[in-house]
Amino acid sequence: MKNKIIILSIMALIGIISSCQNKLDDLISDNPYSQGIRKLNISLIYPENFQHEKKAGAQITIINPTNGAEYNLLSDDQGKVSVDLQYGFYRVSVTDKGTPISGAIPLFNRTIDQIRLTDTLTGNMNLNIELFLSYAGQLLIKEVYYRGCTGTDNKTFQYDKYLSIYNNSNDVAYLDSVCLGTVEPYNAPTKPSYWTYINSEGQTVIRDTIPIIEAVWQFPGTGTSHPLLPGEEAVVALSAAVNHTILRPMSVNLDVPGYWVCYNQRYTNANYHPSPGPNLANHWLDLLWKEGTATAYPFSTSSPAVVLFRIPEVGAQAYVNNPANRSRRPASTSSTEYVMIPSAWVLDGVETFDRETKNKRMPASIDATYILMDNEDRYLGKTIHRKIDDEATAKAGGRIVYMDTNNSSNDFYIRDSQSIKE
Amino acid sequence: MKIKQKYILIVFALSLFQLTTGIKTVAQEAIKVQDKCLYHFDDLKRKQTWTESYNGAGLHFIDFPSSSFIEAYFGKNNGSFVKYYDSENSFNYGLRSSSYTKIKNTTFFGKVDYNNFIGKEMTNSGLIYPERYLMNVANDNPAEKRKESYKLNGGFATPIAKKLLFGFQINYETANMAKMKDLRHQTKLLDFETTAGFIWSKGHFNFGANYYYRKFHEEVVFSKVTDDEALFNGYLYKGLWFGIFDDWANEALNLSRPFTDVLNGGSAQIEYVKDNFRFHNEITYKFQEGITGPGADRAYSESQADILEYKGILQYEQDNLRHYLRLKSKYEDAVSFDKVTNSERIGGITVVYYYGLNKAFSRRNYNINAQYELAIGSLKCNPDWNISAEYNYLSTASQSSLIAPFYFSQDYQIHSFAGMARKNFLFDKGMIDLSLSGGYSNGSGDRLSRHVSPGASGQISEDIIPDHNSELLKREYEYMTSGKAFGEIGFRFSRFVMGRNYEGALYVDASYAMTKASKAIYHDSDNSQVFKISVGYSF
Repeated sequence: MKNKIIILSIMALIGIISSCQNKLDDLISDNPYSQGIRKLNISLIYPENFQHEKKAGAQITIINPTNGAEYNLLSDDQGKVSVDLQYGFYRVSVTDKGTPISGAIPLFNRTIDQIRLTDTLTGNMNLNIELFLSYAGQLLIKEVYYRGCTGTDNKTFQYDKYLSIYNNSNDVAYLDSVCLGTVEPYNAPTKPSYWTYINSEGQTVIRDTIPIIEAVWQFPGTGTSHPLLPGEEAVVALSAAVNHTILRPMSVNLDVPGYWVCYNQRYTNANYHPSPGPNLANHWLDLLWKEGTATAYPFSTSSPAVVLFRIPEVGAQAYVNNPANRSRRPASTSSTEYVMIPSAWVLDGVETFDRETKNKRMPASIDATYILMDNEDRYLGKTIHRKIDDEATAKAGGRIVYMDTNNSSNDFYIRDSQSIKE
Repeated sequence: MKIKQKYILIVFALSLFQLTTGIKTVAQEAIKVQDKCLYHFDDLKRKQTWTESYNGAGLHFIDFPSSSFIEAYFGKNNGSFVKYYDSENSFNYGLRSSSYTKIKNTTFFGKVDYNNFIGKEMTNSGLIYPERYLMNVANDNPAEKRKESYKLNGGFATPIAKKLLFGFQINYETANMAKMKDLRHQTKLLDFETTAGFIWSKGHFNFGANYYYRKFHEEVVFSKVTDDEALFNGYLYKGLWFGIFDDWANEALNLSRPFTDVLNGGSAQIEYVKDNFRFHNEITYKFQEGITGPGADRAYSESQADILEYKGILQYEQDNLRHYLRLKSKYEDAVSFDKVTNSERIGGITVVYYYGLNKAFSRRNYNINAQYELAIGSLKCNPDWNISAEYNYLSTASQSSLIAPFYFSQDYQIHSFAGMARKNFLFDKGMIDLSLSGGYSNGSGDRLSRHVSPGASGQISEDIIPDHNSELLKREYEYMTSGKAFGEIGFRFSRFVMGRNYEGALYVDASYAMTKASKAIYHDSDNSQVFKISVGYSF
């Protein structure tokens, strides 16, 4: 009896060991994505009169803000692409460049947020993306320095922010009446922007009219007072236009003849806004509009969304003064108002993120994506800077032409130090 | 960490209770004084067939009337060849007491253990028992950690009818661990386990069955005290050291969260008993469900596991020779899912969208342990020699699948062999036990392989590989699979204490253990040592 029990037990044990080892082997060979996956079929729809631009190679970026996963795909010659995705919500951005028309390069962009792939969805999801038309601009934001630096005392410093505007064309551009502002909210939001609507296909779309927060600055001039020759740039100090390098070698000198400054006595914080020196005489931007009680012009050190625009109608001052052209945040009880600027008036814009998981503020017609500079890069004097378009530069006879596809992840890179130090 | 006085008082109260109960029981059972002095609590416990069972009714079958001890202990650990979450330099101390007691037909078991732990340079886990879970939250800034824990175990077995026994067991642990430097965390543990079962005896057989329930919960709260701009890395590990890594901030990467797991299951036992031969078998099935996050509807992740266990003990006892063959085996199939939700404000109202469960990590492992022990000597409670040999086999397969279409797998197998010998020297007024053990462990396998979901060739991009801490992967794999020798030497001196109403032994027990790896590339050193000492009274 004893022996039978022992023999039976040993046989059972061998069987169990063998079965368990097989189960372990099965796990390695299993495809974990055989379930819980939905196929997203994307079809690109080009604007009217540009159907012929449908071709292989449009760049399609799909981002999962939850985990930061980014799928970079190219459309086929039918303007289509398919991808298997896990359950979740996705942001789809498309950018494509058309054939130049009379020297102007048509750009086709679009970003759609909140593509929802749920476990209740049966079958595949088909997504038709209508692309917006825009053109490469004459005036560009070439560089934005907003992340601050560190002084020799190891203290962080942020009064030295600036941006640089560049004439990317072969023609003379004029800074006169060009406006500057940032899109609400100051920092890239952790939740989808309030300024969205849901279209007929159930897609969450950022409004085409963008809210400018806190202030609108404008270059003075009569129309031809401040020319910018092809390949020239104008540096705009966003805070203190002084030489910061004396105490902080990592910083920059913004007290340079020809530079501009956002300065107005309504901003009374002397740390941020000391009186500009004689080098910047007559190079103060006009403060067209200011909201709230801030004593310093708030420009995010983490993730600003900055735009250049012109107000072509009744005059910029009259436009911003008209309450009909201002709006409060949707579904909010806050009395804070924002100046609403149609994206068609925008000359250039760049959206920055400090984390992949943030949400966009600009529509694709201004900037289809964003440039990411995360917190590891802050307070090191780093900037976002436009990439050089080698092909266009060669065509321009060596004059530098920067990338301009209204897609900042494509157009910008993280620069290790401020370019104006060179 | 502030010591909670009330728990210390409880420990002492229970110990005093056991002392008084023990004295009374000895008188009732009229045990020889000499035998009682010779008892080795752990040895006696190990040589029963039911003391390791989930069925508390089996306590009835212990073959000694009572045995107890109370001791104060201290331990010191040194060396870098430790698990990723362990300290290279730690010590702990505490008080513990345990007792088996038969009062009439009812058998009781009780244990209390208070422990205070301080470990230097600890990192990589916010959890107290990270290996219980399929994910972890961590920061990589090493700092001192302190932990206080209290364990209470109890059970009883009593006949409720002819040849029918009922038993009940509770195991309870509470602990509080704190990291003492930024990025700080405080972790609270609550672990509750209970079983209730019956045993029916028929002829040479004992048939048993019990219900099993366990809930363990750890709540981790990270915080930064210093008011400066310093950034700390936060890690949300989701298996095989893949996950989400970012600067720690409650807004961006909120690592603070509760981990809650509930297990339900049951065991069946069958034991064959004839003369000095016993063959005990126990099969257990447990189903485990876990969540992390605020609650079921707002959970961040969910997990589940099927666990199958087997324990077998074959025991043959003669007058001077006693043979024990023990076999333990465990199979576990666990999987965790990311619960995908997001919240949006629509028309001033926050709406939470639920998308589904994405499989994040799967793990299957199988473990088998066989041990043969031979006790030589006339007294079961105190053999002259204890000699044992042990073999352990562990096989693990894991798969991480965070972002389609890539997934990653790991598998390894570990073989371990160990031997132990203990000699007892008996004198008129006391005894000395010397023990020596040693062994060797080695493993092999595949540290990490990358796979692509079939049919996903058009979307392959290196950009979509999730964050990965390859250093910890290498370190952990090295720890598990590298060839390593381990040994321990032990010394115990007991002084018999006998009076009219009491008999027992005062003892001091010390041991030194060392583990040394043949090669350690990803650890700061290739060895670790543990020194333990305890002073107590067994009765």
